[in-house]
Amino acid sequence: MARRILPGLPLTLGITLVYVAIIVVLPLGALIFKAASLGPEDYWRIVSSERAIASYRITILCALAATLFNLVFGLALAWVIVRYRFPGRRFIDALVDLPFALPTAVAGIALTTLFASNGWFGAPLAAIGIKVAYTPLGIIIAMAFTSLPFIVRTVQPVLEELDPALEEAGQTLGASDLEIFLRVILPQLAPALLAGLSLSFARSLGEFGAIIFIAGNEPFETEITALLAFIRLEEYDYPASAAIASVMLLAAFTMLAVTNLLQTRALRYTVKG
Amino acid sequence: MAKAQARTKTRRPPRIGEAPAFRNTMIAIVLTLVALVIVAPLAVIGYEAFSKGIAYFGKTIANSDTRHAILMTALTALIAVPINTAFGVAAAWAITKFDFPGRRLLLIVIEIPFSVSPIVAGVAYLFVYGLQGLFGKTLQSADVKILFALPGIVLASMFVTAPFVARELIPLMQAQGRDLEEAATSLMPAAGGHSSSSRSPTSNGRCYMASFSATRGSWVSSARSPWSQAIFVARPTPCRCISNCSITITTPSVPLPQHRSLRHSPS
Repeated sequence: MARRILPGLPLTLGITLVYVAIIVVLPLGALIFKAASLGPEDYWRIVSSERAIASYRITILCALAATLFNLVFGLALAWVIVRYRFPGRRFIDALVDLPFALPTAVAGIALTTLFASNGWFGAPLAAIGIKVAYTPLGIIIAMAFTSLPFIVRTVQPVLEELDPALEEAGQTLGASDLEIFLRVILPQLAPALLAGLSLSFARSLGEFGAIIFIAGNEPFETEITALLAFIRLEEYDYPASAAIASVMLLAAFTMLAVTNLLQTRALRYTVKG
Repeated sequence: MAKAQARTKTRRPPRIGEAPAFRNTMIAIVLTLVALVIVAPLAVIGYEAFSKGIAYFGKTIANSDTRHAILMTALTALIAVPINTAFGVAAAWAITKFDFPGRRLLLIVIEIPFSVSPIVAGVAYLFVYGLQGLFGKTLQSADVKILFALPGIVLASMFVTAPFVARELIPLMQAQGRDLEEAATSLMPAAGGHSSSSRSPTSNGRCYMASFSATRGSWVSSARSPWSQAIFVARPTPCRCISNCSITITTPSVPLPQHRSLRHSPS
């Protein structure tokens, strides 16, 4: 290791480690400890109960759908913000962070009001026979809303830094716009896009506040895993709650590791370019 | 790069997707979706909040429960945000300016609260400070209340918002590299221990920019009130009507344009 020139490593690293230990590692450690105290058989019984499995299925499927929607919409949004100049562009750019800044419970209440059968969107949709509130569709909308900024904000900086020369090279070689987008631009965006996708997916898996208002929370139908953990807690069944929470923690950790891997690759790519 | 973009007026072949028809369709589609997906939920809150008249809105806000809830939220943010900012700056400095074993792992741990469910966080805190938790018995015998009290709310909101400042700063400081600070330190060896006094004007400027984005991160963290943890760490009376909730919206929603200029900082 090279000799350190800059000051402050012991101090800053010390602060970071202490803070992370108290705020993040200690509680999560306690959670795992509690879940582990169950013993393998009980743990497995709780984690693989029919209701839990149904909740995993709903959560994962809805998160996938929401992430897919965000992939298309987020990419289009980032593209429009970066590539075009039009009145209100700045405003749109600022709006992107809004789902991030809004308390998720407020978002949930707003979406429910909007999509309830007498709401602004709910009433016309109900007229054509689409029910959103209290169905999985509502869960998807809530997830998409809360995780949209993740995709836009990871793709946007990379899109800004793209080298126009590469696109021009494609043009001089006679590629069509679609070909250039698919074979020149998209590959460069891919690492950032994947990182944004996995962040957005992880966030959707764990979302709680926004969903419980709009989901209807019917066991086996519209009950998400986070809610199940909460219900077990309300029933004072702490070990069961810990077990379900530990599954979610594992999922989040896996997604995070994937994201980090992708981001490192993305960084390596941009540094080279 | 930025300069090249600014000179788009000079004649050059149009870039991909700059054909007017495509451009306008894209803008129209995206604007419509933004209106439907982001603006409409906001509008409905504003509309519902005042649907019973300004007097009713005022009455709700003036309600002692509401006032207490607002005070609690503000107090929580006032405690959590400075601590988180200090932590974020320290973490970003340690991670971007030095190489040490376990750096990647530390980065992942810092980001856990981002992707972990708030429910998991709430449950986890219960197992540390709750009656059946790690410190539960000790705390009870010492008569210290953490859960179902302000410290619990603050701790939980520190958990959810811990990565915000660090995450804003780390990519920025990574892109800036270490050369300027190293040059400054080597030019002023006497000031070795005090990084703040050994900054060159440029890196002061950078520091300034970094603090901008730190503020942005903190705004986000203060605006994101930790509702779902609070629900069982604090057991507050949850806000029942929309007009109650809508006040949370008045917390600034990050309209900071300087964030964009940061991306084009000299590198």
